[in-house]
Amino acid sequence: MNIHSVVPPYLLDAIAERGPEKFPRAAAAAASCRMSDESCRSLRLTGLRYTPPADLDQAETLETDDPANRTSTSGDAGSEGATGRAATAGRPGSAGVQRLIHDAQGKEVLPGVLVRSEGEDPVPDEAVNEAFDGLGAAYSLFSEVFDRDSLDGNGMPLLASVHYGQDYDNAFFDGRLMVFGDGDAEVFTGFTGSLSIIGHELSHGVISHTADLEYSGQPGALNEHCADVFGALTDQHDNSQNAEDADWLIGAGIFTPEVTGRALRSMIEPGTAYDDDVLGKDPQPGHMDDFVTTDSDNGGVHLNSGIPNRAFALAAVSVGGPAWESVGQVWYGVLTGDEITKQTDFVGFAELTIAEAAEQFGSGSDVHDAVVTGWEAVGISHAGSARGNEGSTW
Amino acid sequence: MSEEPAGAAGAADSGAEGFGRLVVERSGGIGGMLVVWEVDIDTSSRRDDLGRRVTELPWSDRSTADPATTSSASAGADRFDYLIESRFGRVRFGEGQMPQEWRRLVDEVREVAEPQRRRPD
Repeated sequence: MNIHSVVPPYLLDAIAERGPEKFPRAAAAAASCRMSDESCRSLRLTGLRYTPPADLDQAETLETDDPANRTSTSGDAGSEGATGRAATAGRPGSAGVQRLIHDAQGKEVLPGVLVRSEGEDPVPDEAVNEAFDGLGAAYSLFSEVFDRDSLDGNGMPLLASVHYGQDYDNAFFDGRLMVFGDGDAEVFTGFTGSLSIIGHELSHGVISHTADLEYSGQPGALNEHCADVFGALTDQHDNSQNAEDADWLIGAGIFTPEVTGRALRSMIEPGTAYDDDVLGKDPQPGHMDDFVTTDSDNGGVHLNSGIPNRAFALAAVSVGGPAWESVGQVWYGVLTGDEITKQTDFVGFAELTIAEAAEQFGSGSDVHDAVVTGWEAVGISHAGSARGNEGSTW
Repeated sequence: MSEEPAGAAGAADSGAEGFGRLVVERSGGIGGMLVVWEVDIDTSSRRDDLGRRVTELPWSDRSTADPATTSSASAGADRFDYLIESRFGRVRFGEGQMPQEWRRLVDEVREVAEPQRRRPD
């Protein structure tokens, strides 16, 4: 099937550019399709209908046209989720988790062929099951711990594609789908093999529906940081693990045995995740003194995220116990609160988390103190670091 | 391609300087790793094809691209970011926004050059 032939790009261009007056809804949808390359058109073929961003407040982003794909409200949603905990959401009337896993079949065309839907048994393809189970575990974290029903808080389906591209060394969130490559088998194995990575990608979806931090510079690094936080918490929550017992690694096990490295990054010890002849040394900084200024990687969003990552991990370990019950609650409160903006920077985010900790747990509480100390440890001090923090009301 | 008729690049404007070096830098992705592919077009086995491509591509139209063009949250996260440089110009694309003609150039460079992993600036 040649999915590119369904709605030709030139037609989408014409609708988007010349249609707003006569067909405003179609024009908005066409423009959105163009932004997200092929995925929108492809989704239609699998029975999914896209709702333009302008309507996000009023409706689910993605709905299914195929009754077979609709999730029953009877509660058969959990299937064998990861961990068996991908159950229904806590929200009254929620249909619970609805996972739709696609196989991109080695092509860079999204979403690919639908291969496992909610309520269906595991399939022979392990990557499909890993994605299914991992999304279930991440959904459970947000649902059970933060009372959030999916990415948008309204139960939108979780869409994922596996086997994306050839030797594709990446996993990403395209604005609608969580996409996983198989790796090149020399440096990287399949990206569905790490629960923290799956949680990280799903968290990007939550972030895009909440603070929507701009993906560049410090706000972009905070976007990455928050995805790491909830990716790590997905792993810890799934393993009922206390902060002091966690490895705080993102992407543990993602390297082949040929690589000298533990993971893509370490939240608690940025810069120590790998040191390999081929890969080089993990370049993440863990302190503002080592902040990386670069044009690459959207301004180093995956590098400088090490700084707030360390602040969070130190605070969580200092408090001890399940991180999702203490510092995780603070971070989620900030991410979904009214104060954060798309341009919030490190200092602004630190201020918000400290204020949130005081509000949720009390000023001078162990959580509040741990958050303050965590930020101080990475060079962001309420006494005023040389980073424009003077006048803080911490 | 090396199979192209001899002199195909002769129509392209290599000038006295030759085509020079072509560098593709890939950053970002969930790992945030920097990988570089670099080729000397003039000594490459694909001189004709690469030379024609670099002279025909619209470098000047894309020379001011900056990370902000890919910072929209609607574009997603963890995608690769490509910087392409030659003596004809410098362009940057988010993976999902790269036009096909540039994608073909990147693919060809990756076929002829070994990847080099580097630390960010």
